[in-house]
Amino acid sequence: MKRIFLAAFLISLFLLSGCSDSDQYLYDNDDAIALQIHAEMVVSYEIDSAHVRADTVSSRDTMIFIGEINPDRQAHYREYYWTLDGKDFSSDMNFMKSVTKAGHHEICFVVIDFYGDTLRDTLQLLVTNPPIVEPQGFIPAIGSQGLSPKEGITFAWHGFDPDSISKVYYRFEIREPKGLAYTYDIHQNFYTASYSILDTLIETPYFTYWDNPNFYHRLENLKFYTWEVRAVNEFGLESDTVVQGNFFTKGNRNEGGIQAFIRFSNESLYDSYSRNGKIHLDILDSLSNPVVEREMGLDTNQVVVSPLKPGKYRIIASLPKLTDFSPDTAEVVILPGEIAIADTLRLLDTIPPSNKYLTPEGLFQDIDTLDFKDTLRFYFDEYGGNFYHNFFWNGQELRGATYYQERFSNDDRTADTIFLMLPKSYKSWTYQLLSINAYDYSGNLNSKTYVIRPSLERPELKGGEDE
Amino acid sequence: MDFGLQHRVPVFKRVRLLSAMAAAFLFCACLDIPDTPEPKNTASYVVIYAVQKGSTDSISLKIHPETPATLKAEVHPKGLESELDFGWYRDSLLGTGESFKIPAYTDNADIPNKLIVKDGEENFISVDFEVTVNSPPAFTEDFSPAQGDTLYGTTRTSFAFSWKAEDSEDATLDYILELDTAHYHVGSLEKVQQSGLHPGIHIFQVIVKDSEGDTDTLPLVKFYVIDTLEAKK
Repeated sequence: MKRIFLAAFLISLFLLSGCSDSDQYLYDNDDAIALQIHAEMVVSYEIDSAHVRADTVSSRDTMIFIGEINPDRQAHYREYYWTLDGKDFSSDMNFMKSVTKAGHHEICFVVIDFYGDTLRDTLQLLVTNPPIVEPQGFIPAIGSQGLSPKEGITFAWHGFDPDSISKVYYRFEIREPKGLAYTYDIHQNFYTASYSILDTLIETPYFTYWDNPNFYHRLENLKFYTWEVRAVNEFGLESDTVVQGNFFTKGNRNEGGIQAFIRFSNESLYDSYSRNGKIHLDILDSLSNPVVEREMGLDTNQVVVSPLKPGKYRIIASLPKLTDFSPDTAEVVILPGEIAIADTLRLLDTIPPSNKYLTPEGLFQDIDTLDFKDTLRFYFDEYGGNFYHNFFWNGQELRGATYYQERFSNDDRTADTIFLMLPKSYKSWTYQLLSINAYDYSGNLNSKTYVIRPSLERPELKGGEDE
Repeated sequence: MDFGLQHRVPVFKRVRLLSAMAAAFLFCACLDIPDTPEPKNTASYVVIYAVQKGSTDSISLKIHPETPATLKAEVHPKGLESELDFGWYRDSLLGTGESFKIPAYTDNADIPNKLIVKDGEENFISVDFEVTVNSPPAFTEDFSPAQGDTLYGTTRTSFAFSWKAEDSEDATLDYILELDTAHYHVGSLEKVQQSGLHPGIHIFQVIVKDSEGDTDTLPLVKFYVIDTLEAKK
């Protein structure tokens, strides 16, 4: 009995093994798929940044890490993950992350394939923080007087690499400004028109300028200069902060000078050049004798006049061509060897643009009631720079295609003639209002309203309505 | 038959008793744990110190040449010193004992750079080291403004500050200028001009550091600023 049972068991085992296609579980080199992986990264939010495998970035940069598995079929791999310096970093194929710790990092894309083999692709990332320069606490202090290029002018500031891993360089510049670093009230930009005297890259946070007759640009006596330092590390990352200072060079014992700042109520004048004329500067001594007379471009809001003998002076600034601006005066005392800083000269325009109606014959008419015409002519004059205007038809501003205007300026742009062409659809049997606002760039407003007489017959009322 | 059985039972009991006694004996024999062996007196590591003017330096082993110094070896675990031999070497044996005295102005060739510590069983520990002999920088008397000087000018006048330090080993020294409460790292500059000083008493001090980290401090200088130029207006 036992023997029969054993024989039956063996037969059924044989049959079972015959039914299963065990060959397919055997390794066949032809069926093997070579899995390929690839990792790369890109600095996010930068449209033109390239996909790279090694990079130097700031700790504030966010990186996008991209992993690729080919063929990308779940059946061919068991799992994938990313490591940062051997520690878990992410379990996503692609992800966005910052690496904030400064230094060199290895970011590894790890894939375990179907057979349990491990494939790796490693990215190299160097993270640095930008170098730092302290924008305060430097030598020479702002406004230092009497520095002599021949005796050497020393500059020192505090700069360093916060990570202590990269070398720091300093871009050192000396400039002669036409305008002092100055913030527009409206645009909040720096006004830094200036000439470069020295522009150099140094390795130390200190520097001595020595006069050299071979220099193309040299520091002159009794002048005003600005200097600026930016730190750059060896990977090209620039400091967020800048050292910005200024100083005056030395003069003889019996010489001095005056520094004056000029500001206009119309700041758009800084951008205008020849057409609006020049700033006229008069310097008078204590007996009101003229000592210096100078003309400067409107783009100059700072001027140093030297050498002058020590004593008391009066400085007058005006804009001869822009008569809306009142001249301004400042008193100043020059001490031996120093440049006296005068109070800021403020040239103010308080006069709004004028607005007159021009007849078709070209005659001015100071009237406020006009007939409706296809073309109305208005004459504006303004002696304080440019102006702008708005037309309002019955309280609605005329914009775009609802009307047409042409503007003709005279040569020095102190007056404009504006042709206002009104569409026929504006004709009406009622009185209408045309308001004109004219502003100058000093903020002065001239608002004038004209009454336009009816231009159509009053329509006949339908029968009985009048009664 | 029953008798026979009754007779055999006590025989088995005796055998079991004997077996139990033998097992107990063997167990007791196993419990006879041998004594803890005597600990071996071997040193695991040696630390070398440089001692000079009461201060101890085990990191950079830096000494100043003008003052006698002593190199000391400290063996760990402690308490083995008396059983060990210490040999201080530089090419050849320069001295023995736990410490090695370095007189002032000793030539570098006479300062050891290797210590070999041996016990009685020919075990030894060898330690290589390098003693740094560095002269600290020292300020000269050449500085300006001098103690109690009076300077005349306005807050915009640039006053000159100068100093000088010497160091036999370093050509370039690093200075920090302290002007009242402000600190300026001025690098190797030995003269600067600074403005912004209001009328009154001011303090000027400079700290110098050489490449080995040795420092010297200029004695605190007090000076006065008088605004005579403003008064002339």
